[in-house]
Amino acid sequence: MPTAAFRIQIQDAYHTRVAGRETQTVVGPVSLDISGGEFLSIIAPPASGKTSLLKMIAGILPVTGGEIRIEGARIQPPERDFGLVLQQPALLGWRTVMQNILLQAELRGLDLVGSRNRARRLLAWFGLSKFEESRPDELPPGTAQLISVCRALVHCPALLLMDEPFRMLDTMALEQILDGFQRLWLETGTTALLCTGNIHEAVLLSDRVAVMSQRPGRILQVFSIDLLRPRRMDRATTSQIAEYCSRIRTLFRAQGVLP
Amino acid sequence: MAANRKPSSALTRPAQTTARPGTGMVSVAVVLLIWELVVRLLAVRHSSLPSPSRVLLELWREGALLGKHALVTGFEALEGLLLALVVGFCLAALTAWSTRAHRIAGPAISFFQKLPLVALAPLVVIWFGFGYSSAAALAFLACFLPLTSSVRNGFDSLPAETVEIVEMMGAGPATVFLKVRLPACLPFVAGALKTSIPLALAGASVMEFIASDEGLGYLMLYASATIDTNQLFAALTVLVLMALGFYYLIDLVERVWISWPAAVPAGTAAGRQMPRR
Repeated sequence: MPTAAFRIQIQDAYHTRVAGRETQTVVGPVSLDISGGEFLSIIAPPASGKTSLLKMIAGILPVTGGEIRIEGARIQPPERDFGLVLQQPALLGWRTVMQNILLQAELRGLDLVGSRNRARRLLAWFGLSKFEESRPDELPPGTAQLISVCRALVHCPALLLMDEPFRMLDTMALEQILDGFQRLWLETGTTALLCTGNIHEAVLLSDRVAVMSQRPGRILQVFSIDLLRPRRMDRATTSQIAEYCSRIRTLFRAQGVLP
Repeated sequence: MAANRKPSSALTRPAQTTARPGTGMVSVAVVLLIWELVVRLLAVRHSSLPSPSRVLLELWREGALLGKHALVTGFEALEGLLLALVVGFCLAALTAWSTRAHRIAGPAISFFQKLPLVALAPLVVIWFGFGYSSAAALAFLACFLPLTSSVRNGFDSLPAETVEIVEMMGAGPATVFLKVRLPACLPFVAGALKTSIPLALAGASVMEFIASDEGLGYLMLYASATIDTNQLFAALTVLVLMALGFYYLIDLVERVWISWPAAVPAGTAAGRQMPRR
């Protein structure tokens, strides 16, 4: 599924909100430059504002200060040519899995026959074909979020934004999914931004990993992950991945986030 | 992998755990049997407490009379209930849509919910006169506010992220309302109707006590005045059966057409599993 891939430029962007009589900075200022086709992860402690940053890029939250540009143009709220996966799968309970995925195509006015074929392929990629006609409340735990990933990809977006999409999976399931997801992303070539609290997941998937501080989240350091793809937890790469994870953990320890 | 196991959900459907009619019938039959035996063995006066068999006989003998009055009460309650649903739904949608409307209407709704319904009956008679209209009006007042609150809960149950994602797909406000908010609200509407039916019937019956010459409430009042407890209990039984009938009818509609929860949570901590390829 070849697709375009957006470049994102974030320049001193931040978001504030009013809490009582105070104005609180939720996230930022953040500056990042994400190349077209790059996979960048933002790893941060809980409640650091990474979700808010993701939503600012998506155009859901306003950019209070600084600017965010997609392909050189300032974002318009909300940006529509993206695929978005939030922490909750947000599937519609009255629709089947296939209907939930095709909602993306319906609302965008896309060809439904082609979209249905793409949806089937995505489901098969994650081993979820047998749930095509299931309702969301009939799904096993953890699969709803994978369905929302399929929904986010069915229209071949130029930018994929994900907020901890795999956090409900256990370790073994996660390793299986990450392997499949890597290969899927390599095939699409889309720009991907992943917010996660899982250091290993970030290193396994990303070209670069941006480490964010506690609230208000700011970028502390960006690590370039120079490992060949696809990356697996086998003997050849385990120690290298562990080395990157160790460096990131060291940074968090210095911040007092990790013991 | 337990592919067929349903995950527990933090967002459960309202009133979806209703027992089917058959499951309660055994316990009802036991209660009726005990009642029959108590009346017979203790020689309880029929004017105080008729046995179930006497009530059944009365239902058989006066079926036409009871049916005629039941229709009146039924239509009064139904009219009040449907009007309450339409007005309540619109008010709930408005307060969900507009923060200003919510600020104005919310405290008013909370205040009026505390008013005792029966105390409003004389006022309703003044406004609507004697008979059918007053009964329908009181039925409306009895269930309007509870319905509105339940439907509003339905709108509020939708996670903000669901709306955000659908808007990201290109949906405008009208599409979000029709394709997302309205279907998400339907389980709550069904639950609200089921809990409002007895309220509507009660409202209609209370007004029939006060200002009507027809309906089951009027019949019960007449039976009480003539110490005809057989007829009184028979009328009461018909009222209960009507409430149950409406309730299970809506339950059936809910099971067939509204068999979904409002949203799917991210999954439970226990039993995370991977679907097998």
